Amino acid sequence: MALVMVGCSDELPPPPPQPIAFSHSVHIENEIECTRCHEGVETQAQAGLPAMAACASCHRRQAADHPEVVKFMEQYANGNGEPMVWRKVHVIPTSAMVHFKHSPHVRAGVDCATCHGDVGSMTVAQQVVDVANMGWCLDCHREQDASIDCMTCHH
Amino acid sequence: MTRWGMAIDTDRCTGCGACAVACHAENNIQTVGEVEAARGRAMHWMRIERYYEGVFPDVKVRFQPVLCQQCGHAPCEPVCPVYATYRTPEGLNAMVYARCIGTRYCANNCPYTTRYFNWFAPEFDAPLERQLNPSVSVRPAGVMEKCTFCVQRIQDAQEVAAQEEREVRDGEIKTACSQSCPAQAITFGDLDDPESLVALLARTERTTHLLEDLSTEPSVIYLRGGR
Ligand code: HEC
Ligand code: HEC
Ligand code: HEC
Ligand code: HEC
Ligand code: HEC
Repeated sequence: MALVMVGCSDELPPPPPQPIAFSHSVHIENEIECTRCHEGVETQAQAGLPAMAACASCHRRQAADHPEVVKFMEQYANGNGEPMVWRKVHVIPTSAMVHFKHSPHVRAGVDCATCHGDVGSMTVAQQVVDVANMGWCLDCHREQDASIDCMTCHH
Repeated sequence: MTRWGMAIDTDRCTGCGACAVACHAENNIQTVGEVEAARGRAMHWMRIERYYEGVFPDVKVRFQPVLCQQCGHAPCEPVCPVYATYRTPEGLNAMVYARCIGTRYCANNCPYTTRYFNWFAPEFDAPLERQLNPSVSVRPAGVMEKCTFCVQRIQDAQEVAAQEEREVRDGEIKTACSQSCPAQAITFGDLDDPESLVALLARTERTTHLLEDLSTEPSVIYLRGGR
């Protein structure tokens, strides 16, 4: 019976396959700050993902014999400086021509978890809230007295 | 309140076209090629018009950069059947691309002909696609577009000011055209701030508006003559 539910239209998409089995929970348990890896989140539109060199700075020694870390270090060594291709988990389709920005939300004290769920305890990052939903943006903007002018998001 | 405005000093303008080029680069404006441009399908949110005064050989050329006038009473707005264009609280004439269904009524009703229709899907020849501005949407075919007063730069400056817990300073926001003008002919700022440079220029006797008799209440001011 459970199978019948799969594919139901308002279900969130499953997390996309990632090139390395990266686990947030392992890193958060080791008290690594979100901003250490998502450096832009306080000042930029994009949260950003860490450069391979940033992962490698820890993983030359940390868990160096873990199979996923070995795989990662091999890709890093043989990648000719090409960045890791992480797949997007949260996507606002470009066809909506919307410009989401992290910095105003972090400045206003909106918690990451409000929009992303408790990523820190996930082994695989996945969508908990449907972020590609204008109604959801506007509900909160009305509640928190943020701008609901179309051009704030659409330009 | 804030009301964004621009003053263009036509006595300073040399017609070099740097503003138009900067505008293309900043705002991901497509180029349509020679043939389509000849059919009137070229898209330049900022264009330079030439006027000749006098009779040869005693002619003087005057240049006038023309962009969306961000009208207070915009003729383009009431004719849109889907409310895709409207006036923002900060005095910009906004264009919501996602909402636009491409009737082109707005462009027909714009006395300044500063609205441009995307007849084609945008194509940027390699490697130009790598220099697209991520803060500006790339508009698809079938959508109207026009000058936004570089709203992305306005929003960025407002965000930096909010982070530093202060107001936006006069002169802090430069539109791409004003930044690139070698003659510093273009001044951008808040017309409602009496201390701002643009408001100061707007109070001089050199101030004129394009097609003033139409009562469109433009936010773009042209400065001319006077000493
Ligand atoms: C108001 C909701 C909201 C909040 C708060 C928020 N995000 Fe996001 N986040 C989004 C949306 C929406 C996207 C998708 C953006 C897109 O597709 O343009 C996203 C995307 C991301 C991405 C991937 C794309 C990128 O921007 O690099 C990361 C990483 C991310 N968020 C991390 C964080 C972290 C860390 C925090 C807390 C410091 C946070 N987010 C807070 C809504 C939010
Ligand atoms: C600040 C240091 C630091 C950074 C930066 C860092 N890690 Fe880690 N990573 C750790 C620690 C600590 C562990 C846990 C090691 C252990 O349990 O022995 C870990 C564990 C792992 C593991 C093994 C996970 C598991 O399931 O046990 C992988 C894979 C990994 N990290 C990948 C990455 C990748 C990819 C990046 C860059 C996006 C990265 N790490 C960045 C410190 C870091
Ligand atoms: C050690 C580095 C590291 C730390 C610390 C870290 N992240 Fe991430 N994060 C990543 C990497 C790498 C990805 C991309 C792979 C993935 O999606 O699992 C990612 C992806 C994400 C995504 C999904 C982005 C998308 O594509 O939509 C969100 C949301 C996110 N992180 C939020 C957080 C939050 C919140 C914290 C703090 C609680 C945090 N991250 C801490 C490295 C990190
Ligand atoms: C949980 C509440 C919440 C949600 C959900 C949310 N926002 Fe916001 N947003 C805020 C707050 C609070 C501010 C900050 C207002 C301020 O103080 O400047 C803000 C500010 C913004 C700004 C900057 C506004 C400005 O004045 O420059 C943009 C752009 C924005 N949000 C876009 C979005 C988009 C797009 C979404 C949906 C994908 C979204 N927001 C979802 C709470 C939210
Ligand atoms: C707080 C940010 C925000 C504001 C303000 C906002 N929107 Fe949106 N809008 C979005 C997001 C995010 C999406 C994409 C998700 C979706 O389709 O619901 C979207 C989608 C749309 C779409 C559908 C686009 C598509 O191709 O699916 C239209 C049309 C639209 N918005 C029009 C408007 C109009 C008109 C206004 C002003 C009255 C407005 N929006 C104000 C965030 C916003």
